[in-house]
Amino acid sequence: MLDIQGVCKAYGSGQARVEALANVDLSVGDGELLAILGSSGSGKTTLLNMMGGMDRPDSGRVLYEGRDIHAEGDRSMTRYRREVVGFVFQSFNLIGELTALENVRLTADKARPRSAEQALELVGLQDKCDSYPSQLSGGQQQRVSIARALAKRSRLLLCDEPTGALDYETGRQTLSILEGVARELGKTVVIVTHTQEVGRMADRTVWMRNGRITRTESNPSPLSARDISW
Amino acid sequence: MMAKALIKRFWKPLLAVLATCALGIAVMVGMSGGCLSLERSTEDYLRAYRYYDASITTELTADDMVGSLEAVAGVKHVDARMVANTVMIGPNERVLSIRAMTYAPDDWQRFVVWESAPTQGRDAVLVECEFARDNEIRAGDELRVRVDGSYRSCVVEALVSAPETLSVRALDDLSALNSDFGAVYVPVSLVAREPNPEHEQATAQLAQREAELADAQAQARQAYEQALEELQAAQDQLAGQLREVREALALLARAQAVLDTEEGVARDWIAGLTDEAPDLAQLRQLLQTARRKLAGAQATAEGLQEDLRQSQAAELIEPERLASMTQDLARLIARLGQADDALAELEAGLAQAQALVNLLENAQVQRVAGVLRQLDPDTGLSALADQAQALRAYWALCDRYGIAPSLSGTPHDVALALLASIDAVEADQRVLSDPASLELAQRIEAGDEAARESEAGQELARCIERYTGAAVTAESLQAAASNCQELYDLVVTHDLRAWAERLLTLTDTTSEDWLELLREVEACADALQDALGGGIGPIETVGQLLAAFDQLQAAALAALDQLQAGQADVADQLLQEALAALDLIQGAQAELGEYEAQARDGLASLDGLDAQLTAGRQSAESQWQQGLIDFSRLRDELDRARAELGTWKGYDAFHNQVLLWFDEGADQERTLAAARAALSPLEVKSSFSYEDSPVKTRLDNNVVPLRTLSYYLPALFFGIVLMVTFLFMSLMVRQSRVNIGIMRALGQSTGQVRAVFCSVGLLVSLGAIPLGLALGWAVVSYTAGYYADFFHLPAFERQFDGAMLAWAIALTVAVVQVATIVGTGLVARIQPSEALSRPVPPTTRIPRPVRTLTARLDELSKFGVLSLLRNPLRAGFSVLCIAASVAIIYASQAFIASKNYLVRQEFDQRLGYDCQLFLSQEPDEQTLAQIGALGYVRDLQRVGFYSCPIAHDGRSCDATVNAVAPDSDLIGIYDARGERIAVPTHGIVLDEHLAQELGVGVGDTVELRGARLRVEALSRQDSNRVQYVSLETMRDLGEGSIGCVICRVDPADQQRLMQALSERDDYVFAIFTDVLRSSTERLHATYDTSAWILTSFAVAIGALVVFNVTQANLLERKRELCVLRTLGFEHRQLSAALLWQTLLYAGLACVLGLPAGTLLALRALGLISTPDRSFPYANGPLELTVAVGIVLLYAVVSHFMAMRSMRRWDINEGVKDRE
Repeated sequence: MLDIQGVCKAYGSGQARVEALANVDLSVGDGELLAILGSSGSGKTTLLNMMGGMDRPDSGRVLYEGRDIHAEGDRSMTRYRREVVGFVFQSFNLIGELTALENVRLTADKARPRSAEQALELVGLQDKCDSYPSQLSGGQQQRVSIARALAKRSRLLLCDEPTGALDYETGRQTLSILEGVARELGKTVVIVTHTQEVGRMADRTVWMRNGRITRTESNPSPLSARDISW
Repeated sequence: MMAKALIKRFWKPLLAVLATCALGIAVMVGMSGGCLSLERSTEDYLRAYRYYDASITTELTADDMVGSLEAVAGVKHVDARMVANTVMIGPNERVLSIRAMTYAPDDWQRFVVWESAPTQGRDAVLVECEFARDNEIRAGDELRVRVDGSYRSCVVEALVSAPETLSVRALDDLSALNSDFGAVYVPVSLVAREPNPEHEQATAQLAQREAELADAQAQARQAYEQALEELQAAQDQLAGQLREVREALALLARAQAVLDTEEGVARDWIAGLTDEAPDLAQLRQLLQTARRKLAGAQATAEGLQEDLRQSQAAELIEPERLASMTQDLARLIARLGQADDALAELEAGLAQAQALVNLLENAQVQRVAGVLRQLDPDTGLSALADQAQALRAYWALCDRYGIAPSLSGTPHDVALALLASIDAVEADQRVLSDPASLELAQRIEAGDEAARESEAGQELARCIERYTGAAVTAESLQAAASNCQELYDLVVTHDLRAWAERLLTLTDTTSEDWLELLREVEACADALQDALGGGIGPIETVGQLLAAFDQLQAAALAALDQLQAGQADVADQLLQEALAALDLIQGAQAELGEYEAQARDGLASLDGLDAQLTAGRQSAESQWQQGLIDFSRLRDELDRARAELGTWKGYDAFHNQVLLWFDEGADQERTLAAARAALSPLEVKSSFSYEDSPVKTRLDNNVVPLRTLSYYLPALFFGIVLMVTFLFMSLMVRQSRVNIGIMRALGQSTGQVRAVFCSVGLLVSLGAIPLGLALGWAVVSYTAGYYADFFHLPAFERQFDGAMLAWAIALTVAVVQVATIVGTGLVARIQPSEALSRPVPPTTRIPRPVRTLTARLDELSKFGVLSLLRNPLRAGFSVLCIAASVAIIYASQAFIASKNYLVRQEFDQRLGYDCQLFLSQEPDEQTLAQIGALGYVRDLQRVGFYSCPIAHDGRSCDATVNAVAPDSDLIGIYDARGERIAVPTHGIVLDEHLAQELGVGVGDTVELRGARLRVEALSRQDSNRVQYVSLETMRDLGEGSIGCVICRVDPADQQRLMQALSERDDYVFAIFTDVLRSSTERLHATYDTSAWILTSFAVAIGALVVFNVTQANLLERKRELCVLRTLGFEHRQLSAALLWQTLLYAGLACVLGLPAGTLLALRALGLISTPDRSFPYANGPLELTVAVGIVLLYAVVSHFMAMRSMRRWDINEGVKDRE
């Protein structure tokens, strides 16, 4: 589904130049639950941004279904983000003036009138439709964020530290939802995290350091999110 | 460092503040500098080019008289010149109307020469530069000027302007707007001609006729004044008689009222007297009433006598009749006196009877008699008294010994008790006096118990106990016996038993009453004896007492009978008197009625006489007015004769003008008055000093509104500066939360943090000052060029108003500092921990109405709209700033619309003709036929043209009056509602402004040239105000109108018409409506520039505000917008969503700004209006659309310009953005 071929990305110039990604190759399969692990500054978020069409590589290509998502400039990247990708951020990033349902509707498939309500139902927040973000807990906000990604029927769900701002129990519930998205809805889910235990519920785990993929490990029998702890 | 960081980060909004401040300074400095420069430059110009201090227009000029003016104190220099309206033929054979003014090289007034050419010794004329420009006349061109009916050739030596042509272009002067009409200065040599010998002779004849006319006028005035005096005397006499009759009538009315009242009183009296008085009280009341009424009747009769005496004095009643009535009244008064005496006697009898009755009542004789009748008549009153005393003594003893029976009950009961007591005492006396009792007592004392216990012993003990209370001893027995004996003696002495037995017969009187009765018997006997006096002997027995009582009762009854009989007599007598009074009153009433009728007849005849006198007076006045008109006509004839003779210089001059220059510091008005007096042998038509001159008036009309606006507009702009600064300073604080949090965490106080912002504000305001001054200088420079061109000034000195400069700088700094201090109020509420913590979603609560209103929007649009609520204060101030911009734009549009309205009112409504021709005399039928014979002239109509005062009720206003045909369709007159008004055959149509000044309305009468005209309608004319009468009315007003006709003519035929007219001797000049309109519109175009400059300032401010507020919103929502970009929204989608917010700002600003703009426009238009021309508020849908369109346009453009920065955002960083 997604092929990353020889992608390089550097920030700054001269002595301040930092190589965020160095010739990274990675393929992500359809319906796969992929975990990307690494320490801070290892390049995992940059890689996620490349996968989500949020940044342009200095060299290399990102192919979605065999087509380079950066080939046609900003417009094609925007379309790719709109049609394919769903983002889940560490800090939720909901719109404060809109209710939970309206936040989800922002990106919902207009062709399916009830997709927003269904997405909220899927994450168990059907009774919080009219609540504003400020009235929700962190976990609930993150679930709204996931619902927002699901409602647009994106095939690829990119999650940047989805549990980073949550307590242990809430984080585990969030992971459980993401697991369900991958296993039951067949979406491709990529989770960037510091937490190694998350790798145990993934189909595959990629370790990164200094902008490079140092190790890739497949997990033939992934655990359920309920069974892992950290 | 912090300040540097702030400037670096927020340079755009700071630049906006700086630009707004600069605009405020520029407007303040520019406008005030412009005004100051204009005032100084015009002053310099007038001084340098010697504008005259005063002007006097006379019918003739005489060299010796003009020369004598220089001897007048305060006069420095005098020039004289002739002024005539005539025509000239310019380049391309174009016929032009001109005001030709003679000039000489040594004239004081100087000219600014804009262009000159050599004349090669030919007659040289100077042409006013703008007139020359409009008609393509250049220096060196050859012209032909008509003088005395023939054309004289001359060369244009120079194109000039002079102080008297300063501000010649003004909206309220049609002739000044007419580009076909201009000033030309011609040399005296051009118009001079040889002296005519016939002229001297004709002049002498003219003087003789004038003297004859003056004599005739003086005689007529004398006759008129004498007639008036006689009429006045007759009317005064009549008025005196009228006053006397009216006073007599009032007197009669008063007497009648008195008589009516007294008649009622008399009738009441009669009614009262005929009733029977049943008892003494009523009799007393009746007597009191009778006395009061008698007094009233006497007073009335005396009043009536006085009235009659007054009536006699007023000669209303014949003396014989008065004497008879007076005698009747005297008789009546005498009889009333007799009745009064009778009443006095009756009152005395009544008092006596009353005294007897009182005695009977007070002494209770009836009651005493009732009781005594039960006793033996022979019972002595002294015996009764003794018995009573004894009874009291017995009771006292009984009480002392404790054996007294109860005294309550009837005398029967008392008598029974008394008898029982007497029996007991006798029994005790017997026991106690028995010697056996003594023995028994001794035995008991000795201790004989048997004796004690025996019945006798016990009885003895009770007796002793009753009378002594002591033990049973011999001693006590003796004491008790003594007591009992004493009691017994009392009974025997007073024969109480017999008295008690007598008492047994009295059964219905209590014993206490009985005793009281006995006391009263004595008093009663004494009273009766006193009352009856010698009629009875001493009363000693009950029988005598009763007899006295009967005698008294009989006397009282007799007195009552006598009173009642007397009352009937008196009542009868009073009744007779009352009836007599009634007859007299009715007689007097009838007589007064007759007199009143006679007086009213006299009054009516006097009124008729008064009306005749008034009519006579009006007739005399009318004849006098007619005489005046005749004199005026004669004078006009003389004037025409004089004009026909020609002036002393042989030029067909319109009038002659004397120009005066005064000494420095001379009192202008006083010097002018002295100069006028020096010219008194000549007829002085008009004069004015510099203060009243057209130049000064026009200059003031231009400068004063500008000066006023130069105060208002900067105030408005500095208001905007205040709001913009507050807006952006509060924005900077909000955007710098983290930095402020860090500073606070590092120990900085809120004051120190605020000081950083204040220092930034100070830097910005200081930066704005040079920029604002430069802009202000540019404004002054622009206005300098504009004014120099507009006012024909040769030089325009650009000046800054020092005071305004200082004010502008101080205001800028102060306003920015105040706004900064208020705007940074948020600093105090920012806590370091909160500022440094992870941002939380905003907790904006969306009010239900807003939710309802935005319910139908999609989520993205809703996101854009609801952003407004995130910072309502900022939104509010943004809206206010944009609203101020809207207000200025709308007010500027109002200025343009108002001028366009004036043009429409003047040229589309009022002036339906193409040409207005002025002739030197009123056109007769022949003249009209001659002009009408020109084939291309259509709808030729005569128009009367007066310039004269109109008066009403002591108020007077100068006005222009046109007389037109009532059915004319060449002049459109409209009222305030826009409905066309027809000129009335009789009466006048007044302009509503003039009507307001005069305080008249429709139906009132005004005075015009001695005639009284009814105001038939009020017209609405905001400029060039004219009053309209019919030609028929004009005939009544007499001659004196300027000759004028109006007609329709195609533009292509205008020159043909001018050429044809220029051949006529009576032609003065023509005004073509289309030329007038194009000149007016050209002038308007220069005014419009100012309005558009102001609009551009407002647009600049509004656009700056929208741009910066949009950027501020972008910065504040950067994170969310980046998230939306991440979610796949395109830039244009987000931009469109946020456009909702901008449009809302603009919409709300329009809602607030348009009414504010209307108020601003009304105020500004009021300021620039003058007494002769008002700028009405005429904004309509077009102006509304233009204003709203401009606002929306700059709002949308600024919005999209601000949105461009979003394209440069790094989305990855944006989603993590904290500020």
